[in-house]
Amino acid sequence: MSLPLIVLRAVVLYLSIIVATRLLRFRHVGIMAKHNYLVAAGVVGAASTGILDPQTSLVRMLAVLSFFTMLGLSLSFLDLKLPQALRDKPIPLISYGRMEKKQLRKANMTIENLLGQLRLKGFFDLESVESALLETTGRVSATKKSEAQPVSRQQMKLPSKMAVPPIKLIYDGEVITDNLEKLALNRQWLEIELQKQGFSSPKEVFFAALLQNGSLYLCSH
Amino acid sequence: MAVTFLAVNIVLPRRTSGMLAGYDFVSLWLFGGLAAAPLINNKVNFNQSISAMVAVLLCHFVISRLAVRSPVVSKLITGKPVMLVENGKVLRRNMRRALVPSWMLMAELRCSGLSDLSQVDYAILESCGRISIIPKPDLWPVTAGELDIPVSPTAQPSMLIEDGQIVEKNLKRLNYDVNWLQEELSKLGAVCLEEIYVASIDGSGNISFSYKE
Repeated sequence: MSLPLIVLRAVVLYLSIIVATRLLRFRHVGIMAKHNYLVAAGVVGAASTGILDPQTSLVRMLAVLSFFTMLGLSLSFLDLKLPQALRDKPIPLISYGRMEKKQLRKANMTIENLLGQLRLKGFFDLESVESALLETTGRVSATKKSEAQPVSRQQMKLPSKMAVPPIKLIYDGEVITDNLEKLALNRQWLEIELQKQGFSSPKEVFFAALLQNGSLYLCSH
Repeated sequence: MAVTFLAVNIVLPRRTSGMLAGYDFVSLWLFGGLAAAPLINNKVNFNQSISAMVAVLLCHFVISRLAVRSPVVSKLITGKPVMLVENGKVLRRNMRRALVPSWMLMAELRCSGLSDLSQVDYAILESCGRISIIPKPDLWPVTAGELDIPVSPTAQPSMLIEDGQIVEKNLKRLNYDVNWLQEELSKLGAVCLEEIYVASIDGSGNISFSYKE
């Protein structure tokens, strides 16, 4: 097969898989369920053959890709609509501080698998582990005993505060007017604030965000 | 085959293996498939496989450049993070749009060490497909600042010895030389520089090190 043809096929299929991935949403990228993995592997296997094998037509490859995408989407919809159909329950690996031998066997988890997952979560000291679950996403979750948890602000009787995500106001010199409007602020306000910090125009700022305490986070180019 | 893998390994952008967005995910998987294709299918030769990989790599490069430059392209090709829980309230519409069932949210919540929805302030589905969870501020661990515990300012540590090799660049930047390093290390009980595997200096001038064996 000639080189330009391969390049053309590669570009077309690459772009179509990106579209497919957008349709399958972020959960597909994070491989949040088993079928996300299967669909990703299927798509790639099919696409690489499709790019390189002269006997398969591009149209046929695109059809296969659409089929995989539809399959993935329907399985995700089933997840959403009929959670019982596809999902098995999380498997308790440790409960009340005790390892569950039967469940570990059922999940085909070796003791090294379990200890490794716990270590990755920073649970080095087995004594402090209250429970561990093998989640349906394939990841292990674990909770520490209450007395082993880090001291919280509440326990220290510190005044409560709000968690507000930072709101982007400028990126690469461009003011994000939508966010300003949502905050009932205007450009003049922003420019005055910038002047206070020694910037004459938003153009000089790479990134600016409003933080929860009302101050501006600023970064020049 | 091995050479192809090696070459791809060198030219592949770092963001791809981090799978920061959907198109990184696509490229990484596709690279694997393309690199392996000539081994599986004997109608395919290496040159074809390599040219397809180069094409995908170029596409990936162009797309990531465009996404950095233009928020519109970035939104189109990656999409924006989806708020799943806001101020402790689950946003059902966003959950459905992102195809995230409630058990998945609960699983991710447990994976970040929380046990219950009531402990969550924000949950955001990031473009890499993972859910970031921000607990209620009352549950945040106490920081040194809040207890007025005096701390020294954070400073980036520098490597002085890496893999048994002295990092001359860092020594020079900090206005030290090998003799100084030798002296400092012997004060800490290290007799011979050659025996040391890694050594670093922190912002307040403390040196820590580890022997080769």
